[in-house]
Amino acid sequence: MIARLLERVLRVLGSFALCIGLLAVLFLLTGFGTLEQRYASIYDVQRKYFESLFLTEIQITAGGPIPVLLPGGYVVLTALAINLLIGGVVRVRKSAPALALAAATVTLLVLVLPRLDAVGLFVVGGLVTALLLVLTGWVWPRRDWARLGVLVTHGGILVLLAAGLVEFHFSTKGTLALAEQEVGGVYQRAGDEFQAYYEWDVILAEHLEGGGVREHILPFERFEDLGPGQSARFESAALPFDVRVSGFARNCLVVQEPSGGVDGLALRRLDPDREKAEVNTPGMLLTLIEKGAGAPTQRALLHAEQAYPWRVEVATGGSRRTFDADLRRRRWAVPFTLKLDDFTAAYYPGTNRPKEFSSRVTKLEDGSTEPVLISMNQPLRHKGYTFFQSSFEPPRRVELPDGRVVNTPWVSIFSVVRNPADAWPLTACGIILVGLSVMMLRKLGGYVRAEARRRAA
Amino acid sequence: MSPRTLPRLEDGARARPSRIALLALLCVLALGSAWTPVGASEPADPAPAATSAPRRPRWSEESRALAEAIPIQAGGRVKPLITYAGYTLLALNGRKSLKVVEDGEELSLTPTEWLLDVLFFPDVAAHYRVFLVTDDATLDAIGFTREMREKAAKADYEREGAGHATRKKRDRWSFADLSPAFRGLDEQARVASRVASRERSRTQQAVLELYQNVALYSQLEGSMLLARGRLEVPEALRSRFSGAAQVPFSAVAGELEELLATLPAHALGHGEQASLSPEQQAAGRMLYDLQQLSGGEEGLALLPPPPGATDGTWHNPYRLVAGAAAHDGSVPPESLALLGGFERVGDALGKPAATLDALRALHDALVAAAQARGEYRKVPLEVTYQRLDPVRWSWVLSMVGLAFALLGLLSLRGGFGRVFRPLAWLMTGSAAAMLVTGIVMRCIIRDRPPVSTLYETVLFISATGMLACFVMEALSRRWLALPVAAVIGTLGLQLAQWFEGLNKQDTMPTLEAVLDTNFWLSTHVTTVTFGYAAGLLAAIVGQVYVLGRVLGIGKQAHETYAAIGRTVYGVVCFGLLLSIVGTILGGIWANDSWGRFWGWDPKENGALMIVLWELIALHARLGGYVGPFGFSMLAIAGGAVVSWSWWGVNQLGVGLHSYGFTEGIQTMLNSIYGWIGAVLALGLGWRLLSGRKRAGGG
Repeated sequence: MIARLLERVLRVLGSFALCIGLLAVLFLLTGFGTLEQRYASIYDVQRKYFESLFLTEIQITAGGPIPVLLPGGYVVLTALAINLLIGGVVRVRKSAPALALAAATVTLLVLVLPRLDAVGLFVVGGLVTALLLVLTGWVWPRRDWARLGVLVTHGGILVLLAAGLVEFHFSTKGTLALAEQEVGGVYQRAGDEFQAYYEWDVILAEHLEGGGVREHILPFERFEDLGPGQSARFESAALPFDVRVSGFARNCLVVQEPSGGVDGLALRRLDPDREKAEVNTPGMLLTLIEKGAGAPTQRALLHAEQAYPWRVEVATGGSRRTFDADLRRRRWAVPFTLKLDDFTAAYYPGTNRPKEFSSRVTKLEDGSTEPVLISMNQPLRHKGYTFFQSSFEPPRRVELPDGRVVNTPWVSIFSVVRNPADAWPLTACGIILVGLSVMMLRKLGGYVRAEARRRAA
Repeated sequence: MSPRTLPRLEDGARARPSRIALLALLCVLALGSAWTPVGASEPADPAPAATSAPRRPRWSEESRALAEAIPIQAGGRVKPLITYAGYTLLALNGRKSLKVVEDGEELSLTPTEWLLDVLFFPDVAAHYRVFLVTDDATLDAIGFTREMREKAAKADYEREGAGHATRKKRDRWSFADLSPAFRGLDEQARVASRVASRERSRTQQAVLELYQNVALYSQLEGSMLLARGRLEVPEALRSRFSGAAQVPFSAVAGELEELLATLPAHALGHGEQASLSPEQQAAGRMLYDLQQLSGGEEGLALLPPPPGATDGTWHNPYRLVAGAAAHDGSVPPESLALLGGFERVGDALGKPAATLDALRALHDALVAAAQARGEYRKVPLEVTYQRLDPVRWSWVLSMVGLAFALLGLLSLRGGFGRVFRPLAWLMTGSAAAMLVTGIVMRCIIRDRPPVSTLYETVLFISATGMLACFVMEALSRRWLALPVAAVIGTLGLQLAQWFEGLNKQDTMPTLEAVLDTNFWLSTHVTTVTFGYAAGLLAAIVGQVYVLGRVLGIGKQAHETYAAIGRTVYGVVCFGLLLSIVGTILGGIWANDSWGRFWGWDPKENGALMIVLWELIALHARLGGYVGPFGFSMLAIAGGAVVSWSWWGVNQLGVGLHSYGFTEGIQTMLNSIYGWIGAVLALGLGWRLLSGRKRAGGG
């Protein structure tokens, strides 16, 4: 009884109808998600359409949002993976050895290939798959090549979906700006950490008695979706107070508010930037609350662009503890240091069109140095981190915080990514290419033979 | 306001070292502004009064050929003058030829002939009706009123003695026609340039474009002043020029260092004319004249830098002189020699044999200078490409091939088929061969894989579509794939030429830094473009199936329809293979360039939607939800998805070139969607009706 029910469920989960339905929903999501990019930044669209569980409204015309009810990208892609596993891999099996061999193929590729370099990966991935296919062919009943091709192709798509899942959950992305000369403590030539594009954490830096600092972090994920009237409370045994975040605005300005506000200041909400979410400047009201009783004691506005952190002193049990509260971009440490030696921007002669830009950097690690060239399409990959030449700033005259007016140096800007699934798509691509080629060539052979028979008849 | 001094509106980003020199020269200019240059031939009086037309000798075939092959640096690369002239004329005139009336006879000028006339006979060229204005509201906006237009049209008619005395709403105007409205054009262009490009009205956009075209024209006209004029030598300096009263530009440029040294340092800063000696005043005046004849910063970059130059930017006379003035004032002898070459062409004008000799000497000198820099290697091939115009010929051959293919289709069993079919093969085959030749030439000229721009996707898709059809025809021999090949050639190359006319820019541009990678251009871009081609081919073959069934052609030919159905299926399968691999490769490229495999940006999404659509179609067929008819319908709808991905997503962006461009492409897309919608509706309606009939009858 239960076995039959299970079989039924499996049949539905692996059905063509579900597959077509999911593909159609993904098709719609992609289409709407593209059209909405006229009205919202790609970051917002991505969160709303492709990383979401459900989608309740779309904005694809200037006329305002249209209510819909669709599963979000996260749900659809997960369901598609399940559908594919059950319908595309499990159901086409005809013999246990064949299935085992095919599974071994995919596993081997996923495990071994990411250790190769880009082109080698692609070529070797394809060759190994082809070889295993031939081997599998001998144990496959009736040597059903088309079905084998289907199996391998679906395996490749699964690898691709898995790569997306791993990237979504386990990758970090940010940026690192290095200058050609050190200027005024603002521009630095060397760096061993990179900062986020989108994530802003609240840092409570506690000054310890013997010198040194202990950081307590209120992570962005806990307050980024707070609406205007909502708040979030943070509790920690390590802190002598609780913390409340309220009035969070993704993009705002600090304005004078003589009548009320916080210390005569208030936040004015702005619409998030339509094109680049990374230029938004968030702000919030931070309130310290007595533990237990919950009465607010001190409060201050935190804003992305404030020059100094908010200094709080708290008396607890006879001793005073000092904290600096700051809202800043999340930072990730890199286990080595990069130092910019030279940045070059070349233009096509007589035009403003950049031909190439590149940075000569030195990689410093454990006392050893290594020169590296990073340019467009030629990143530096090391220890799971990848540095890309993403942008630059030419020199200009600016006033430093200390009042001096200086010429800024050339600044080279890198994107930094740490993604465990970095090379998986390439592997997937090789697998899919082989799988589909086997299917197609077999079909083409059939077509040619049929036409030849017809003409002979 | 003199037309020559139309100011540049947006000039911020182009800081060059010559700025300092420019400043120095401008100060000299202020110092000498009491004088007017005598030797410089001023532009034609642009008053549209009906006088007898100025004359110019026609360019001989040989002179034109020499001029076409002269190298020029434009748009960041060295190209032959024929390419530059072609796209400049296209931008102004809307096509790559110009109709003029001479001695009451209508002539068609090639782009190079037109450019030569602008450079060497500006008085004549000022009356060529070269500015295409697509809507006369633009002219109203700049104050070129209906009365003024009528007067100008009438004057042109009387002078030319041919053509029409009135102009249409969309018509062409000459530089002289428009000159009374330059002040209005300048004012309105300033207004329009202050409006953000997204918010500009159609007319504002058109005014800006007209302004840019007129400004470009006046730069061209000024580019060769040095070949047409002489500088007068004041008495005080004659000893320096061996007593000559008039000397060419190059002679004065050669003395630049000495002339600058004559002037006291403070004279460059302040116009203290009174305190200057006669010799100093004379030097100031000559420098002023020199600047006047140099033609301006944006003049044609026809002068390769001398050997040993570090900057790869080619000079024009202005930049040469201003650049030298900013340093030590010495102009390299190699550059002086080249300037002399232009002057000798100017001297020889009006004498055909002498003109030819001077042009040949100039051509040889410029080519040698470019060769010394290693920048001439691909120029001759590009000249051949432009003269051959393979895209146009391929289009013409495709149309002829289509005609024969259709005749062949009509006389499938008749005796005439034996005549038409080989002819159709010959013509369509030649069309494809011509196109492939063109694509290969482009690859060699630019050292690139076949596809690196939107324009090239059109050529590549047409070529691969045609070749795929040849293979299908060779395999199936049903006389269905060959007509499809001819249709693809006709429509695809029509599209290519239409797009070129709309875009009005060199179709072999330099590439943005991130696109400048032959590895990814040849793998990802080529594969994805193959995928587009397959998707579109499937849509076309699908229409053959659906329309054939709906129109009741060959009702008994079940076997043929089954084969067409299988073809649609096969093409979609290959399309999926190419699209999926191409799309993933694109992601891998993005991962290598920006650090993210997939970013859900419009172009990526467009490619994904093709993949998804083809997956839907294939799984629907596998699952038994659709048969050959339904599958063909899905493939036809897939044509709309491909069109959207190929052209439509580009429309979502901001700041596209112009209304004409955006609207033109939107119109094309809408007609494709409309056509596909109509075919689908027809197919669906027929299916429902015939289904009922079957049910009723059976």
